[in-house]
Amino acid sequence: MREYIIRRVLLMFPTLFGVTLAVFILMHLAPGDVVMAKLSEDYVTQEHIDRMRAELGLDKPLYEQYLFWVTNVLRGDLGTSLWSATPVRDELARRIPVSAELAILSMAVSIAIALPLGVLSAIRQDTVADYVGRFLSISALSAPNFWLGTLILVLPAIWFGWAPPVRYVPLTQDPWMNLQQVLPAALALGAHSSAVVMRMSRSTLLEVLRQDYVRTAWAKGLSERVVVVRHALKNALIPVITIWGSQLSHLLGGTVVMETIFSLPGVGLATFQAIERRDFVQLQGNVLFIAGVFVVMNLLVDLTYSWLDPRIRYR
Amino acid sequence: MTTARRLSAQEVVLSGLTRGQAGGVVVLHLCQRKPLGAFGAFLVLALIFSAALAPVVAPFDPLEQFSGKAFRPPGGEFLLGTDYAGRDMLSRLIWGARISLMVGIIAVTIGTGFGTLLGLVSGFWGGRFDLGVQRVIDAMQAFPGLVLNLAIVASLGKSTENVMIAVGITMIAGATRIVRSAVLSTRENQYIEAARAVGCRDSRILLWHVLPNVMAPILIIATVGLGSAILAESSLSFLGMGSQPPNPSWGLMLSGSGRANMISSPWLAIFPGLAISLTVMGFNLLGDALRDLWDPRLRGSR
Amino acid sequence: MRLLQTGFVAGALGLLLVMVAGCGPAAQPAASPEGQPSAQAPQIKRGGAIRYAQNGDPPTFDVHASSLGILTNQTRATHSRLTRYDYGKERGSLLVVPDLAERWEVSPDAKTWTFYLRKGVKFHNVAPANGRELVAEDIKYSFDRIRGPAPSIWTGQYSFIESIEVADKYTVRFQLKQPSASALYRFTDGEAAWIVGRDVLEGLAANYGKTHKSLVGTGPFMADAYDRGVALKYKRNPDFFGSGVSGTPYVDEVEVLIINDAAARLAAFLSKQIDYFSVPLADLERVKSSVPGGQIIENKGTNTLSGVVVNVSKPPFDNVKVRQALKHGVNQQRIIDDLFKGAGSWNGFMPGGLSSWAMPQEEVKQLYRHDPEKAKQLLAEAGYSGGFKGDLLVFSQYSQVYIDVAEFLVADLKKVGIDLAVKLEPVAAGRKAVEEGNFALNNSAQITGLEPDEFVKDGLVPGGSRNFGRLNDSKINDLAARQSVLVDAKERRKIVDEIARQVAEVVPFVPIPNQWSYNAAQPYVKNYFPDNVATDEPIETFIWLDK
Repeated sequence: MREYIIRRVLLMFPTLFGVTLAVFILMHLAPGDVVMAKLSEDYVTQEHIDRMRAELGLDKPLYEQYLFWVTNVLRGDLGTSLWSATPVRDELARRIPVSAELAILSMAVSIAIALPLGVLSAIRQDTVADYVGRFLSISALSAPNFWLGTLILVLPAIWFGWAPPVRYVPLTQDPWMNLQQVLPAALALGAHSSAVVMRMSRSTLLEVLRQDYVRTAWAKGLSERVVVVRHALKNALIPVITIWGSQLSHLLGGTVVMETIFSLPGVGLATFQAIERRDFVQLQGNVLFIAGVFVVMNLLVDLTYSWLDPRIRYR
Repeated sequence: MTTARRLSAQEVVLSGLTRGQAGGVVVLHLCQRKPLGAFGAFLVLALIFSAALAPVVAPFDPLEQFSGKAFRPPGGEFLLGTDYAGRDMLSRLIWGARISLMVGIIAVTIGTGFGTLLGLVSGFWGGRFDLGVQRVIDAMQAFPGLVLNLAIVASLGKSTENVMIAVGITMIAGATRIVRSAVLSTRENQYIEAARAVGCRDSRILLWHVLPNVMAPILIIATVGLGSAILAESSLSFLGMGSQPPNPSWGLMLSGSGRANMISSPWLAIFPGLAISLTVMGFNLLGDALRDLWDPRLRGSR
Repeated sequence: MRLLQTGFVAGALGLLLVMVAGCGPAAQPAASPEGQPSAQAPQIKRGGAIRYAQNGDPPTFDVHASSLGILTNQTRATHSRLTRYDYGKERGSLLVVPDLAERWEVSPDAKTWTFYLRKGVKFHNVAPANGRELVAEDIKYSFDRIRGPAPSIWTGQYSFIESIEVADKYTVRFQLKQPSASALYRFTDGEAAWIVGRDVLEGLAANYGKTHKSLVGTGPFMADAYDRGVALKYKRNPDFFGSGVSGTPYVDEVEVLIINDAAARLAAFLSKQIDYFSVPLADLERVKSSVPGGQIIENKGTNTLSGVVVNVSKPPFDNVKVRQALKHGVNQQRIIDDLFKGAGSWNGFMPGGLSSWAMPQEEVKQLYRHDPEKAKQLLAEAGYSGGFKGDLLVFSQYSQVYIDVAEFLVADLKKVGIDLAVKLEPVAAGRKAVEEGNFALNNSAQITGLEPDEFVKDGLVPGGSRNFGRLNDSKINDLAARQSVLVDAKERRKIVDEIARQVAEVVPFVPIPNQWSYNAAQPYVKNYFPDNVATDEPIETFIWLDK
C-alpha cells in the first residue's frame, strides 16, 4: 500500500511537468502577447513596445523562458505575473481560498440536492416520483451554467432589489456576507453536477437494493428507512464518491464562469484572464495548482475507495 | 489485404449493432420501458430533423436582416420574434441546430475516435505503450476541460471549427479510459483465448472480437458526449471564445447580445437557452436509456 | 479603456473648443468658477463613501504609463494637474479653469507659457512625500517625464515642448518649439498631464508603478487599501487644496469595485451597491422603473470616433474606389434605427461630441450616404464587379455593441458584393495584428482626444502612432501640419473641415454611428455630472451624498 502511494506521488511529477509545458506551448502558439494586452488602446512607438517586452523577458528564446520558469519553480518560486507584476504565489494564495470555498460549497449543494433525489428515485423506481426527480436533475444538467448563474444574479435584483454582495469579503472576515456571495454561485454550479451525482446514486442504489443481503434485511421485517439508510445507502456510496471526485474537474472549470459572473476573485477567473492577456507565467502557476489539486484528489478518491471497500487492494 | 480488413471492420460494426438490438426493436423498447428515453429520442430526432431540413422548414434566411424590424417580440410575422439586427429568431434557431449538431458530431468523432483507438491499443497490448498513454491521459485529465478548451481555442484561433477540435480533444481522455477498461475486461474472456489458440492475428482479434464488445460503451459515451459538446460550445461562447458572428450558433445567440438584452427583450435569450437545454436533455435522456438497455455494467456512470 | 467600460462612450453636447493659446482665460477667481457647486454649499452633507465599478485591475500604477480608464479612474482621485476642466451642470464648454496653477500667461508669439502655482498645495501626508509642499520643480519634473521616453506613453504628444524652466519656487515656464494649437489641451489632459513628485518615484524606486502605494499626489483622495480583483479604496485627503472649491472633497471614502460582468454591474446598481454606472441601452427602461428618483443623464456626443480602420496597403483596399464602395455600402441610419433603437447619430471624421470640430450632421449624411448602387458601380470600376472576400477584425473585450455593429456591416456589404467574415480576437492578439499591419479591416474605436490635433497627427499621417491603415495622402499630410500650429480657431476649423472632406474622399476608415450613452445615479447622489468627453475629470471631488 505504501509503495503504491509513493509510486503514485512520483508519477505526479511528469504529469504536472507535461501540463505546464503544454500550457506554455499553447500560449505561444496563440497570437498576440501580454504587452499588447497591457497597451490595449495606448498607441506608442515600436521602441516602446520592444522595451516593454525586454523588461518582461519576452525577448529571450522560448526554451530559455520555459527553463527559467521551471528552475525557479523547482526552487519554490512561481515567478511574477506579467500583467500585474505581483508574485504568482501571492496571487494564488489570495485566490485559492475563494475557489476552494466555491468548489466545496458547490459539492455540498450537489450532494444535498442529489442524494435525497437519488434515493427517492431508486426506491420508487419507475413511478411518477422517479420520473419527476430524474427529469428535474437532467434539466439542471442541460441548462448552460452561465445562464443559470445570470438568472440567479439578475432576477432577484429586478424582483426584490437584492443581489449578492459584489464586493468580495473573505469567509474569515464576515461569514454571513461571504455566504451571500458564494452560495448563489455554488447553487448555479452545484445544480449542474447534482444531476450526475443523482443519477449515479440512483443506479448504484438500484443495484445494491437487489443484492441478497438487502433482501435478507427486508425479510427480517426491517422498516424501509432502516433498510435503505443503514444497509443499502452505505454501500451505494462508494461509486458516488468516485464520481464526486471526477466532478471536481468539472467544478473547477465551472468556477471560471461563476467567478466571472459573481465577481469572485478566484483562481478560475484569474486563469481565464491570464489566457486572454497571454500572461503565461500566471497561467502556468494556476494550471500547476489546479492540476496538482486534481491529481491529489484522484489519489485520495482511490484511497477512500479502498478504505470503504476493504476488498479493493492496490498493488 | 487492406480492403478485406476494412470490410471486416464494417461488418463488425454492423454485427455489433444487430447484436445490441435491431433498430425497430430499440424504438419499441424505448417507448414501452423508457418513456424518458423515448422523449429524449424524440428531442434528438427533432434536432436532426431541423438540422437536415433547415433550408426547407426555416421561414426566412437566418442571416437576412429585415430593416426596421429589429427587436420584434414573438408573434405575428415572426413567430419567435426578431433579434437586434432584425433577423428571424425561429429561422436562426432552426439553422443553429445544424451548427450544434455539427459541433456535437465532430467533437464526439474526434473524442471517441481517438479515444477508442488509444483505448483499444493500449488496453489490448498493454506494456510500455500503455504506460505512456496513461501518463498523457493523466495530464489531459488534470486540466479542467473548460480551461483546456480555452487554451486550445486561444492558440488555434476562434472559429466554430476550432471549437469542435478543442472540445473533441478534451473528450479523448475520458473516452480512452472507458474503452481501455472495457478492453481489459474483454481481453480475459475465453473466446479471446480460443481465437488466439486457433492462430488469429492480434489485429483480427482486436477488430473481430474485442471491438464489438466495447461498442456499447462507445456509443453511450458518444451520445452523452454530444450533449456535453454542445454545452461546452455555449460556455466558450459566453467567454467570447466560441463561434463567430453572424453564425446562428445557439451558444453565441444566448451569450452575446441575447444576454445583453435579456431584460428588455427576453425572447433573445429564452429561445436559444431552451434550444440548448432541450437538445442536451435529449442526448442525456437517450444516453441514459441506451445505457440501461445495452450495458447494465455501465449504468449510471458517465 | 473607456471603451471597455462603456462601449460607445458619448459626451456632452455643444462643446465649444478647448481654449486657444493666446486667448486663454485670465486667471479665474480661485474660489468659485462658474457653474461650481459652491452655491449649494449650505445644504451639502459631508461624509459617506462613493462606490462605483470598473471592469478590471489597472495594468500599472504609473500615472504616465497608461491612458486606460481603469488607471485614470484612480489617478483622478489621487493626483492633480496644472489646469482642469470646469465641473458642473453648465459645462460641456470644455472651459479650462485653474487647478494647481493659480493663473497662467501666454506670450504674444504663443511660444512661451508661464504658469503661476497656487501656494501651500501639499502632497499626501504619506511616505515618501510626507506632506511636503508642491513647488515648480515638481511641474518641470513631471512634464519632463511625460515628454521623455518610456515608460511614458506620451512622448510623441508632448514633443511640441522645447524646454521647461523653473523661474522661481512657484513659477514654471514652458518654451514651445512652435505655436501649438493644442497646447492648453495638453496641459489639461486628464489621461496624461498628472503631476508627480520626484521623491515619490525615487523613494519607491523599482516598485514605482507596481503597487497601489505609487499613487501619491496632490489629489483629493489618498490611496488606501487595494484588494486585487476586488476593490481599490481611497480615503479623503484632509490637506487637499480644494481645486478652487473650499471644503472639497465632501465624502470620506471612494471605493472602486472591480466587476467584470455587465449583468453583475446592473445587479449591483439595482441593489444599490454602487452609486452610479453607465447603463447599457438595453437596460435603460429597467433602471428607470426599478430605481425611482434615480438620475439618468443622456450623452449624445462623444470624443470617440467609432469606425472600421481600413488597411490601405492591403489589396484590394489599396484601391481608393474600393474604399469608397465600403463607405457607400454601409447604412449608418439602419444601425441607428434598429440596433440603437433610434438613440444614435451619424459619424464622419471628428466625432459629434466635439461639436466645435465636427461637421454638421447634414453634411456627414451626404458624404457617407448609403448608396448600394454607387458602391457596386465603384467596385466595378475598380475591377471587382464580382465582389471579393475578406476579414473584419473586432476586439472581443470591447463592448458587445462593436460585435453587433460588425454584423450589420457584414450584412450591408454583402449586398454590394463584399463578403466579410467577422474575426473576434482579444486585445492581446488583435492589437498585435493591427500593429503589424496584418489585417484588412478593423472595427474599433479611435479616441480622438478633446480636439483634432492628436487624432489627425497620430491617425492619418505617416509615422503616426496609430496610423494603422498606413495612410499616406499628401493633401492630408499638408493640412495636418498646418492645423497643428494654427492658433486662430476659426482658421483652424476651416482646415479641419477640409481634412474631414478629404478623409471622406480617400476613406482611411469607414465611420459607424455613435450610440448615445446613458449614465445612471442613485437618487441620493448629488452634484453628479458625468462627462463622457472629458472622462478623466475628478468628479468624485465635488459629489456629496444625501443619505
